[in-house]
Amino acid sequence: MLKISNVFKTFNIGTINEKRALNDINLTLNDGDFVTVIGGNGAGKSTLQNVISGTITPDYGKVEINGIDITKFPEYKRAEFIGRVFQDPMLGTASDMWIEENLALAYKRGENRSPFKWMINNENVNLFKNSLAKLGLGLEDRMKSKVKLLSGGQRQAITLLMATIRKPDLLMLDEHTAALDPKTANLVLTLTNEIIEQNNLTTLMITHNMKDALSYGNRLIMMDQGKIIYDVSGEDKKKLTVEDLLKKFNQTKDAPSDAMILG
Amino acid sequence: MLGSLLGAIGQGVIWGVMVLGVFITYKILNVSDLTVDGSFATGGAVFAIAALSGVDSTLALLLAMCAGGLCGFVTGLLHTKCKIPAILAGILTQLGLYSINLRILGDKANVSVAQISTNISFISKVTGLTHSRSGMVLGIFISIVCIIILYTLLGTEFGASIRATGNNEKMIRALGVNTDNIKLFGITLSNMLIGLSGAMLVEMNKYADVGMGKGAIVYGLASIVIGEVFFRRFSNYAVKLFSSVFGCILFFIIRAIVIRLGLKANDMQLISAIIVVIALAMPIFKENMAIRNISKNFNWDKYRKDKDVDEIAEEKMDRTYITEIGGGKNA
Repeated sequence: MLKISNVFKTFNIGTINEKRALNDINLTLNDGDFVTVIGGNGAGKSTLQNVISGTITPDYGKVEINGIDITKFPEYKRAEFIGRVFQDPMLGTASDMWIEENLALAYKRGENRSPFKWMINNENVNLFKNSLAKLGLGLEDRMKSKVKLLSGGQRQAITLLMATIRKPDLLMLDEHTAALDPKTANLVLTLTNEIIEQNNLTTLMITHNMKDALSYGNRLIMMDQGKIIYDVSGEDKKKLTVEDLLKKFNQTKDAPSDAMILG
Repeated sequence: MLGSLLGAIGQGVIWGVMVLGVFITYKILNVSDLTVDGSFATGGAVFAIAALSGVDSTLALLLAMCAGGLCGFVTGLLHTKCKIPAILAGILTQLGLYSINLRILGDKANVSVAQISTNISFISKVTGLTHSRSGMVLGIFISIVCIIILYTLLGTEFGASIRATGNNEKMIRALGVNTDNIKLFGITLSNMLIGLSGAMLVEMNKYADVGMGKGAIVYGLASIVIGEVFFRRFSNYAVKLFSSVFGCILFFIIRAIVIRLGLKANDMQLISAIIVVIALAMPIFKENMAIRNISKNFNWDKYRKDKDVDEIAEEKMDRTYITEIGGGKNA
């Protein structure tokens, strides 16, 4: 599935602000793994995410998906393998386009887009309608509404659907509930979990919320100073508590951020 | 009066093709492309020289279209490959094009095509209409063809990714679209239409002028915003495209009236600048006015009478942190 080997990334090399964001990262995700990633600010979570999605090229190392070396692939070429949901609900959808148009755009993720084929046809509209109905938000009756009329939570739910409507090899969730209020965040997380379980998706979820990191997924990774300092899965992860994680955090050089404690 | 009205419509539909080009970059791709002033004149110059050297006038129109497209392609490359901001990239191309256009015209500021047969003179010969009416017929025909092609394109899978690039570039890139190539294509297509429009204007005016594109971008923007005044409520792209050409026709009618009132044609530059400023500033003024009216008329006493203060405070507490998701039947 996803294999990251010996990845290094340093920002602002040679200046006083030099920062080694990723320091020899090795990580292999198996098929169907649902991995939650935690770590303080500046631990390298986002850089890792960006290296996988292609917005950042690593200084050294290799990123592979399904055995294909994608280290040199530009961002748009990786879309064939990766479905993404961003932290900002505004980023995941085209706000001036209809719900069904957004889904139609996502339905062709990573494929050629033909200038001779209508984007929307009866067949895919029915598919979109059924998928929206499964979210249980009543959006299937508003297929021709512009996305900008929806709330942040609704938009995030649609982005989630867009990322998974064509089964991705890897689903990446970048703190995708961080900008939502607690109630909505819970709803979106529950939806996320349902979709991942139904489709048996390999998932990488970055979160600042330790409780979420513990209650979702079968594997947990903790990062600090550009390294993976803790990797736990299966039964061991189930036994883990927030206190254990906090203890682990206090062993690191960086004190945990406020968000961590509150989580 | 009717004569000058029809003349204005004729100018309007010919320039309207240019407005469709501006619509693609400004409204769909959300990129401000200032190549227009240069590529419009390039289209005209290439047409004039090609037609004068014996190329069939329809073929010459196509050549002008390609020349315009090439100008757009250069701007697109500067913008996407060299990462120069779109506005600056357009200005740079436009500046360079001035020299190139002069070269094309053989170092003459203007070149007459009155002696040769053009598409307009052909229409005129076949239908027996006057030169300017024939120009109007050609303009209407080309505008309609362009609107149909663009509308069809925007509804396809590829066209939708153009719209999405203008709307949310990061998202459509995450969905696998090379947004650089889309922008390159869009800016090129836009300038193809602009070059074509310039060539038709040369047919209409019977001469090519190196300065003929001056202010074209402002005319284009003015036409789009004038059209929006009438068709704001429609979100269908066929209507939006039509609205741009319609706006352009109205623009030239206004221009005809202004000239009739005794102002000079050159005053139109100032007038169109003012029209664009008003149109762009209007939403802000409207919003401020609306807010002022609401707070002026807000009846706080009535609100307080209906509920006692504790209740209001409680209501506010309840709402904190809770946004309803859904809002549909399950809400």
